[in-house]
Amino acid sequence: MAVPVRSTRAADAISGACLAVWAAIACACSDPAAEPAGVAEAYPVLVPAPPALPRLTRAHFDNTVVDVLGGGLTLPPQLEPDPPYDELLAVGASVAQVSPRGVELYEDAARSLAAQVAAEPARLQALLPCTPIGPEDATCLGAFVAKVGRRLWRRPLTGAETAAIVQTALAAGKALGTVAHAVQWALVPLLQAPAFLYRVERGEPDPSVQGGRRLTGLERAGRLAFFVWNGPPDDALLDAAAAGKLDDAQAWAAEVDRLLAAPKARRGVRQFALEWLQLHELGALNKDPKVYKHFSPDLGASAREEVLRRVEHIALDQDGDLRQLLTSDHAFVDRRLAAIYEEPAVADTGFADIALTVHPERRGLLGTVAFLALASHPISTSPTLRGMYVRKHLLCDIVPNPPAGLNTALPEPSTTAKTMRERLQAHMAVKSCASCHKYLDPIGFAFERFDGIGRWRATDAGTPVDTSGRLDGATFADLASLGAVIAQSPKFRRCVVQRLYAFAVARPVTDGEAGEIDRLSDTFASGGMRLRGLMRAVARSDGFRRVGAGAPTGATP
Amino acid sequence: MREPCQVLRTRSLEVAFVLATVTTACGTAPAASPQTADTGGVPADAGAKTDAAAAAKVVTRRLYVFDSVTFTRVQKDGKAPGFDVDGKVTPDGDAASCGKGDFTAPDGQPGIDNQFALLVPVIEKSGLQAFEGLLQASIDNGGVLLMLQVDGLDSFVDDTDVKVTLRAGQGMPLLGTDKKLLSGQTFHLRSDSPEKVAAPAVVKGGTLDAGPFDVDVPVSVFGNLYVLEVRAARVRARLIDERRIEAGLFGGGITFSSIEKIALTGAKDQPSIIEMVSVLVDGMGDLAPDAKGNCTQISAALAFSGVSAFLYAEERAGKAPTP
Repeated sequence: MAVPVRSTRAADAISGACLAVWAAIACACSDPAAEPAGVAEAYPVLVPAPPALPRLTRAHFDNTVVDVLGGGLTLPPQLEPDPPYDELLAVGASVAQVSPRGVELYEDAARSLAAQVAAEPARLQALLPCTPIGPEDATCLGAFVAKVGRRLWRRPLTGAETAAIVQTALAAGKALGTVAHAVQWALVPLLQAPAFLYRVERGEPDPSVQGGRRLTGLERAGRLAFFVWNGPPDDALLDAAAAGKLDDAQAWAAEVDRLLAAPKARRGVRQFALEWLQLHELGALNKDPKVYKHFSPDLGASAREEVLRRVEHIALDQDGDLRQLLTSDHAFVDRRLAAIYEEPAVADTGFADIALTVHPERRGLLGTVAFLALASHPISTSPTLRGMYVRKHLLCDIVPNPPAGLNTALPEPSTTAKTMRERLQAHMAVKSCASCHKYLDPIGFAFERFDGIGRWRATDAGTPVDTSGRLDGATFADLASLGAVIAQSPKFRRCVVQRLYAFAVARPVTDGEAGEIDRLSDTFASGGMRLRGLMRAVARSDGFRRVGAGAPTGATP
Repeated sequence: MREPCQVLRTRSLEVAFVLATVTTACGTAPAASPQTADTGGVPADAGAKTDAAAAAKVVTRRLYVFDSVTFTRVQKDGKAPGFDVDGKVTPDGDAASCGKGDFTAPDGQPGIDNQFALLVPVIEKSGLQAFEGLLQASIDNGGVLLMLQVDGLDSFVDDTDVKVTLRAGQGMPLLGTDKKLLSGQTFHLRSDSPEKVAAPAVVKGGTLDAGPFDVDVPVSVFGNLYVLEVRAARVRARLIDERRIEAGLFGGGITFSSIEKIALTGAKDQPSIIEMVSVLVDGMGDLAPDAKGNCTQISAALAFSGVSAFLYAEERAGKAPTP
């Protein structure tokens, strides 16, 4: 039996009711029959989720600009932020509203990008499908709007849409006297239209399911491209969609494989890792410089790149088992990370894959600066935050917020409670605190041989560190063995699937999709836990293709 | 255009700095112990040291880069840190030390040769107070990267069979939030790095003692390369752990010939500086008298601390130190 996907969300609203939630988690974990790998079972019938209206994330926006208008443009410094929801930015973009300030930012961005394009004759020439005879060449401008508009909006523009934009362009061309200005003012509306900023997924009747609906070919092409490439569909995919070829299972599978084999798939894999593992938070990494001499303002970026390269390497270079992410004894390091890991660097600049030899328990993601520093306080480690990270992001457990008004401050070090473990154990004397801490801290103690920035330490407050603990009934001795325990956990496997699925469909996963998650989890396991294979399976799943009835939910343009 | 006195001052600073640095500088010669596997500066099982008992047990090669160097001075009580370079205790001086008396170290050890300690206040009064700052700046910007390589280190507390080599690195260092060299970083080796083993070397009670050995120390200052010849050099430092060494002393006899070369290189257009250097050191020699009884070296000692470092693989593999 699997943990329900959406029903546990109700726990978010429960404050102070940790015990019940954790009891449910513990039950699910200790159930030896939970999700046996490779065992066929009847999966609950898919109930397709209602249509969604995901907004382009910042990464989608930037990659679309680059893919359609070309590289080298100055991208907008600020756009509507992407708030995470269900721990993912892509999902947040489908539920968050755009603020009035956000609308202004999109308008500013459209104007800036259009002006830059118009100011570069070579770029302009490359984008124009024809040679305009003047600024009032309606035919050529119409061809431009149709060509570029289709890429930006991920669908052909209607005649009325094209005509309205051409009308604006002609007016600008006439008033300002150049083709460049006409093109500029054709781009401005294209780049701030809801059809550009939102991925409209209304769906259409599904002939294979009576009364059912599916995404249209163009909608599915957009979903696939933003999933696998983290960017817009190319002309080939749009052509296939427009021709109705994507309705054929084999043709669809071929397109999925084509996208997965393309270099742009690295963007998708990296974006998924960034969101799943919360690496975007590293941009704001801050540590007390008096406590952590190895900290620097660029450390967060280095730490993020290390993990992204590791995921990319496992998923695409090796097509390997994703559990290596937790157990690998290698790391991609630059010179600063190497100094923190106390390993020799390979070069003055750039990243290199090195074997970790100095501290044998430093293994995988959990031994990286990215995790160890992110899940810590600015001045100290935090077994609680580290345990919470493992629970939330690697096991997909629900971790409720502390009850309002609860004093969460740890006792100061004392003669009887000097180490972090001792102080937290003292903290757990408070019953209302213990109910949650006992599910988090025993995990986090595994990392106490690594300080708040990820440097190894033998002692805490002069006392040798005890890193042993238990996770859902399994015991571990240190970070390395905890990584192995998590890697073998069915919950980890299912968590990866759940996150990847939500990332792919860019909306919250519903209870009606629990069976789909279960099925994909088993597929993932039987396929050797290869991320590329899982991406393929998700893209070919019914849940990815089908859509429920009703109006789009979530964000509104 | 700079004023002549400003030029003189800058040059003086540079020469003084080099002399001081030189005193500090690197020693000769490393050599990996033939019995010791080259782990490239990587402790073979550092991660296994998870309790206090095991913490004292370490293995094979460690490399420390000097992150701070200061000049030793004569203390108010008349004592001075340093080494007994000539192996003789002559509080009032003798002919072999050109009449220069020995100091007593702060820990009570007699026979300390450190005539340069007497020069430091003189240099400071000459308006060159900034020279220690310059020295530190040269460390921080990679101009002076002196490294202590310890091979065959089995214990931070007691080890009677270690090999010590002073080496010279290069590269732009990473600095920590305290603006000092970050521990654990990787450097290139200078092509002219000294490569001689400082033997004998032992660790006793957590203190490393190495020498005597002769070493020529290359130092880059303001784009100029200087070589300081240090004779009967010694190194002493407290091994804190795999990351730090503290209370370090590096000293020996600096040859006048190398000082003169430095002065000629660093201040070739400034006869007054050359003269000043000559005056400063001429009457201060206390070691290695020549046939005429004139001392040809001046004793000196520098204090230092260090942090762990590594060499890039090509440097680790490419240079074969010779004992």
